Amino acid sequence: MTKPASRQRKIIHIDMDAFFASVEQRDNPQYRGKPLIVGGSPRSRGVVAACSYEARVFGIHSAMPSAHAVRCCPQALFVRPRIDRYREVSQEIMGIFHNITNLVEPLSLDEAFLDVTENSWGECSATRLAEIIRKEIYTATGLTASAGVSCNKFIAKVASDINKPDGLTLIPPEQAEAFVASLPIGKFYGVGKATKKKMLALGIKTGASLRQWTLPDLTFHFGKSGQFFYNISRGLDERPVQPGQMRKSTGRETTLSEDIDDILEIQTILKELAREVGESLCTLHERGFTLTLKVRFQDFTTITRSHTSQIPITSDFDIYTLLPNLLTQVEFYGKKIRLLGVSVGKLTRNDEPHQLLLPFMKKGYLEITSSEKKI
Amino acid sequence: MALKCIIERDHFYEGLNSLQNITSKKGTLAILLNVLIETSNDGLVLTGTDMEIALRIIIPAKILEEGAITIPAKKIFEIVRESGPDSITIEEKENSWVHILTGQSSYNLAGMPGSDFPQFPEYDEDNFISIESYIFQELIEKTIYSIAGEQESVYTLTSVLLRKEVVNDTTKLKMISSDGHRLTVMEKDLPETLEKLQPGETTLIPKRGVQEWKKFCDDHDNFEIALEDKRIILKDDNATMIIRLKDGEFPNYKAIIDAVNQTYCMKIRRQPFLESLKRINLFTEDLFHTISFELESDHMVLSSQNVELGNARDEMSVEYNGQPLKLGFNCRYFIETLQVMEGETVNVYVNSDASPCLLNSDEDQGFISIIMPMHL
Repeated sequence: MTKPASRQRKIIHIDMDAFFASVEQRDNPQYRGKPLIVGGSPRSRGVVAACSYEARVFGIHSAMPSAHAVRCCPQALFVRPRIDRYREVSQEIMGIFHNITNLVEPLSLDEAFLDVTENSWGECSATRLAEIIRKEIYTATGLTASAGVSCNKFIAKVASDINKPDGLTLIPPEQAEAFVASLPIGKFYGVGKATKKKMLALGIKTGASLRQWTLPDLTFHFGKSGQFFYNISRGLDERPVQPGQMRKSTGRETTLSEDIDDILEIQTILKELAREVGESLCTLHERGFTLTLKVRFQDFTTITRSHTSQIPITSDFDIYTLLPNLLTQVEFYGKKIRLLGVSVGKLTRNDEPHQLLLPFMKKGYLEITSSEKKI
Repeated sequence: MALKCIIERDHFYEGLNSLQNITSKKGTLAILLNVLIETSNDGLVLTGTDMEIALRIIIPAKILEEGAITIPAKKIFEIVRESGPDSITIEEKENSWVHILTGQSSYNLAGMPGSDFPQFPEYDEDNFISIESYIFQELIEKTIYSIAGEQESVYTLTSVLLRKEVVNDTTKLKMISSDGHRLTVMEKDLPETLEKLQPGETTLIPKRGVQEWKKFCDDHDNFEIALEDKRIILKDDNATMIIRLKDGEFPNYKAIIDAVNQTYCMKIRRQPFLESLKRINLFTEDLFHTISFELESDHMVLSSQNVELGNARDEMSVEYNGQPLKLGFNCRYFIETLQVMEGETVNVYVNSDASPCLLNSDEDQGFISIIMPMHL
């Protein structure tokens, strides 16, 4: 078979529908058809890890505090997550993907990108493959999945969300640009709460308005991400599907519009980076144990300073309280800073088993008050 | 003057062996990887230090010429270890070269001048108290395992806390350690001979110091101890060890112990429990060694799961007076605690799947271990 010189890629994004909740409903018939919440107890400070579609009707969504969820829907059933079980089912599903291509990039237990440009079925139609996969998953596990099919990761991922649950959306390459133009900016990959706010402030509301911006302008405002935004507003996303492990760290970095050495300015930027990384931890439902600060100086020398702790890093507050300590370990030698980066590594999911700490390890608990004794 | 002496192989071997841990710290000054060898009226003095712990040992030797020289501690130890029973002659040559002769073998080893070696700290001879080793041996053995690793960010946890406290009119000597996940306390009645020993509010002995102290106890049945403001000195006729203390605030361990409600207790036989844990641990995941305990009034189910291997389950009879409870734990924490404990039966006080769990035994006076559960 001959290949055209510049080949269009065929990417499928598969996203299981309400995965944890669906597994519970399948394993426990008494949960079926009912608003089901997998997560922390409503009497605890836990959050919703997943919820069934019946629960979503009441406005419940993942990451919502369980105590809040029970107010939205008092009749909702709460069950504790059984991660080992979900992992088992996930392995089964990943196995189905691997029957089709080796280029499988799992994003979490219930989500993956597949590059099916070449596949072991010799099937040219990615849409037909996506249907086969969805059917296979249903036959093997009784669970439904939604698929997005397109020519790159970004569009495939947005597409899989369109006909959810149990749906399939194809965005052919020739429609990619128009599709992106219509998207609200919050749907874009790499646009979290912070960037969204910044974009809205700049008057960027949709893909179409993002498209108006020149590359230098975007780079000025968004640093390295500027190039990425420039490309995806044109429906272009060259990121390859990277088979292998799930993500081990999450981070943000920013090249400054001019080199700085003012400590207040540095702190402001670090605070913003901490906020973005904290937000990303929250969306990923993950916690980390290593914090890394990256500094590139005007002469392009780059250093990193890391801190590993047994106290999990779960929020922007945690990150920002640890940063000053890392910053004091940086030797400036009178040089100005060109780039700052913050990342959190050794990620584990919030709902995975984790070791609890003795009370004095929690912030502000160095002394246990006598009131706790009465518990 | 250039040092020259003859040493019995076994004396030299033992002395150098005791110094190996102290002279092998990574990333230290080159001279600290050496052992200082100097002549004295009593024999040959071997000194090693990592600036936190200093150890000086006197071994018998035939001094032919007085002097002082330093040589790589690891290399001279290896040479002596591989040597036959013949005595060993050491002779300092020009430019700090050292010639070593034993039987038919000879070596030239590059040394550094003795004058480059840090001074052995001076101390007051008057403050020493004689003591039998077993007292500290037991305190150390029962707490050393839960000292935090050197990476720990709450840095006082990288040390053991030494305390003297009066409990119900009896003076107790205590050691306390914690790694943030668990906490261990061992206390013993203070022998009269130790009345003069006055640890401060925060006498913190770093982990490596505790390890060397334990070795010192193992090697000597009796020794003398002096506790100064910033250091502990241990000595007997032939050896002197100085351990620099750390400074800082140790967490309020008493508050944690007091906060554990001791109403609900599981009584379980220690040895079978330990054996069961070792079996269940075969199927835990590498990082956290997660196991679960399902407690009922007369039995407990232990289980573990490993994504790649499968799962394991065991059942033990217990006496338990609380509500049925499911708890998660790091299996290794229980194994390590039960291994240092004594007695036929242990008491495990539990309250909920998120509150500290306390272990003790009526047959192991003075020992308390607290282990935090895992969130499953």
